Amino acid sequence: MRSFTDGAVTDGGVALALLIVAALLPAVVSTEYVLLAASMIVTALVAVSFNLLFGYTGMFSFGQAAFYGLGAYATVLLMNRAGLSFYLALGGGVGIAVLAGALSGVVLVRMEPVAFIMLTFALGDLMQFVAEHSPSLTGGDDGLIATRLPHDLNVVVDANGVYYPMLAVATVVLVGVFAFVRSRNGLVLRAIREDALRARTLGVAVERRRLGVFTLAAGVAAVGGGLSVLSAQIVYPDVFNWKISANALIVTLLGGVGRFSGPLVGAVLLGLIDFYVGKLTTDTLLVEGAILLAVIVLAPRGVTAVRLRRRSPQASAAATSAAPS
Amino acid sequence: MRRKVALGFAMAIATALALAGCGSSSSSSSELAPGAPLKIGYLASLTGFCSSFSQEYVKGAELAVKQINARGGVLGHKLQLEVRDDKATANVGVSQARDLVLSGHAKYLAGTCSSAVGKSVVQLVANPSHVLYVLGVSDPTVFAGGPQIYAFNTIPSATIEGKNAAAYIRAHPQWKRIAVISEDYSYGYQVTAAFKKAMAGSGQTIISQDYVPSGGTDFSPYINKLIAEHPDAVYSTVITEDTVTLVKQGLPLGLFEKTKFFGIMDYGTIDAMPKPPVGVEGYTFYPSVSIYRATGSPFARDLESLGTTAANGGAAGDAFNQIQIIAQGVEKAKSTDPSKVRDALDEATVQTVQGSVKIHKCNHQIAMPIAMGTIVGPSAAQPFAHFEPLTLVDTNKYFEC
Amino acid sequence: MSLATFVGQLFAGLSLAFVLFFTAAGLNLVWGVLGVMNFAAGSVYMLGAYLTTSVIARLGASTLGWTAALVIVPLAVAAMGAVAEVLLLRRTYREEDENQQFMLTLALSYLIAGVVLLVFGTHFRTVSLPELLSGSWNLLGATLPVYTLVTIALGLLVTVAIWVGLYHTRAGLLTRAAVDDREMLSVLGVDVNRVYSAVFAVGIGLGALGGVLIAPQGAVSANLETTALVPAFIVVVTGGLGSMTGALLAALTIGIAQSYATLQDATLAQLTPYAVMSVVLLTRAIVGRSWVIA
Repeated sequence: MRSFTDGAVTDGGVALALLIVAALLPAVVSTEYVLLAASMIVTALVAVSFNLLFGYTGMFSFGQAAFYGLGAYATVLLMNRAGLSFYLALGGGVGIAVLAGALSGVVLVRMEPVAFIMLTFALGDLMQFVAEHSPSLTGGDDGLIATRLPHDLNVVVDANGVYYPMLAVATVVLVGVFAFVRSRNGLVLRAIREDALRARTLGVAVERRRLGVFTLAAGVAAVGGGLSVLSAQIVYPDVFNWKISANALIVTLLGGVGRFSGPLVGAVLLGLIDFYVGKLTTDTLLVEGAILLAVIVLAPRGVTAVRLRRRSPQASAAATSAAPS
Repeated sequence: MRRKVALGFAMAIATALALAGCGSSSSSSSELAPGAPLKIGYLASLTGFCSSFSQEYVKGAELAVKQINARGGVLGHKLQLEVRDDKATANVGVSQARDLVLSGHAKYLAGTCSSAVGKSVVQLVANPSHVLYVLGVSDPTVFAGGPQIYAFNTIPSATIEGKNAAAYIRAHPQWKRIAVISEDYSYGYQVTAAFKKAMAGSGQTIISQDYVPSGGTDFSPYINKLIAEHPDAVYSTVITEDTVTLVKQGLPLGLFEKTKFFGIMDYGTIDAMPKPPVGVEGYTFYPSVSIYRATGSPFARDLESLGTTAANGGAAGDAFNQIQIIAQGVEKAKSTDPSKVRDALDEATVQTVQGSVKIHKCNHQIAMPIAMGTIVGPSAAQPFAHFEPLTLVDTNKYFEC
Repeated sequence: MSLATFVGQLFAGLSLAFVLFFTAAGLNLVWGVLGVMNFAAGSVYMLGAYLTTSVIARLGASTLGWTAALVIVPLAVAAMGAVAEVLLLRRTYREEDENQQFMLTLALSYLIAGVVLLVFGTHFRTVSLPELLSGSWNLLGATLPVYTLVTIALGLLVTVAIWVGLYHTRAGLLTRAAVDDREMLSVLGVDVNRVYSAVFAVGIGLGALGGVLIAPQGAVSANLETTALVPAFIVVVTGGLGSMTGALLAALTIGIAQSYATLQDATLAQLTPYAVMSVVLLTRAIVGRSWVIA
């Protein structure tokens, strides 16, 4: 019989291993790969935010890009207009996104699943439209250049200066998320995912819990958006694009839904695939589609789930062989 | 355990590949070793919203490289082109540009059809990175850094385009009421703004400004609206696929009979239309071979070897120019150091498909001429829709510096 | 607004609505019956448009060429859909893994786009209409392109065909039953796999039909994929997943509303589908069907 803590060690173990590799990376690889890893951190954060909603609570959000983009723009605007330093602006940006998440969530979490998908999608698209058509505020699709960044962007860049702050902030946030999902809160969310009606009869305040995780996910996505400013330096309206939300989904499914380490592994995997495919060919769509297909067929529940499946027959074989004859 | 091993393996491969390259690129001398190839990284937007002519761009760039190498290269260095897909997205473009420079050791970059990519990559190659970027985008703010930046623009900016159109409209003072229709993104806004500014004080009124969604499939509501406004003239900066949609849907609705229509009509676009809008006046600045035969530039004939119809040389010609400008810059500077090449190109006169063209130092814009004329159907001499009569407008007069 | 403008915009809106409806109808069948959020809905629309350009290039832009395209292309794409369903999707039904199904359609959309790029290149393609359909008629002062009227007529025809199919044939009965209760259907001894394949093929074919109809209206390029995908989802959800009547009403509302909205503010009019959808979804939630459902 599986207990709640089953897999926690492996799950956390994988995440810890990734963290160690991430911390040591700049000592081993060149600038370019460090920056690739930085982009993986951002992708991972958005995917984690998606996984919190979809994997843990059963809410399919197609609009995490809305909060990602909000985090990015708010951070840049607070730096440029309010003169804040990067970290203060990041905090402010995340705060704004959390507020937006709470306000929109009040209505959104009460919608039925299909409506929830489409309305979260519409939220992201609406924000992209506003960003594109408000040049005085956002610069329109000319983009908004971040002034007062701690590090200048350049080809030969101080990659470590960009990477380590991102890793540090992301680690803090992800440790918090890990604690959250491994706590009783996480258990309650999973109960809601499995059977919300039953959870309600057991006394769970379903809408309040959903609102809570929706707000949390908005914050996590916004951290990703704010951090992305460090490496991108210019924010464009396509930070709200639904393809970012779709990417979060792909990354989570590739890595493994409902596991903490799933989105992290998925982000690394997809980041590597995109990078090498982009280097080796110009038929990127075809190759990426084929790879995606292969992964779906070979690892239907995500890469982190592959091992568990193979273990079961062996475990049961060991169990039967150990049984008295 | 297996997974950790796999992950470690992946990291090891990545490391090996990274170290197999040159590692950090902070070499003190920016001159190429004698005989070493001069690498040019080409950002081709093969997927994404402006991808229609991207394969043509690549062909044009490859042709220029081939011809320059056939003559021995530049300063004894053969050119080497490496093409990447930037997906018309800023962060992909930046990542590809960085990879081309760091792993690929390219000191020169060219291409992209997206102003957003252009803007971000220009930011990337800013002083002191010693990488020069030659591109053709319409957004003038990309080059806002002024004479210090490591980038040059090969097509007229939206500002120049708007001023030129205003000059044409002002030359017809009997058209009192002008309606403007453009693309719903920065290019459309910038051209319209420049047009409006240049029209100030003309006595002619701009009665409406409409922006159509790029890639939209149904423009008939916009066309009906335009016709209902009864303008004396319509100025359109709807481009590529959208021009085709506008014309196809506009013809049965009587747009070209009920209004005097004037706008950007690139040869590659009107040639693709089953029924080009004959009699409509238009302009283009993409250096289609057929337009620039008149200038006597030897490059004009070269593009015909691409095997596309003479009309479709437009985008290829722009990419061809980009490579030519890099090569001529190197020769003028007598050096492969991008900083020296940049200085040599400031205020230089370069040979392009459009003939001799001047570069303006203040904003790194190249004063490419704009071709204007009335659309006619195919003829024996030019078996594709083209302008007749054709005038070439010298755009130097639209520069403020 | 003059009468001429009113009539002109009305027909423009109707034409837009029916093209929307085809893609939405296809998606509705696949999503409603098979439960698969078909991310490749936009891709098959684009594929239909590109294949139309090939057929016309081969057979000429005559009435013959066009009739051939109208028949061949949706059938061909439907056949491809059936193959994809049997080879790929069917494997996922046993585990009822919706995630896997969704990802499969996503991967397929990448592959279709990649193949199209490989075969046709980046340059957009164009086709022309036969002379018969290129003109325009005058109605109450409004100029109506003949092709708009043809699109509307075809749209009505196909709608009627879908209705007859759904409500007056056994296959339609099985399809509707599958929307209501999949498990019951297999318990009753129906070969559910066969129903699914057929429904998927028809859904894909409808999407491709939308592409055939849009091909002569402008340029055929890879952009068609994204411009078709989002409105299709919006129409389906607004109309109510699984409901054909709903999808038709939603398409009509959105198409006509957007057409008139353009007269007011061409830029904001682009938000019409989102506005209609949000109003409908929120109203539906408040009015009570799903306000306190888990």
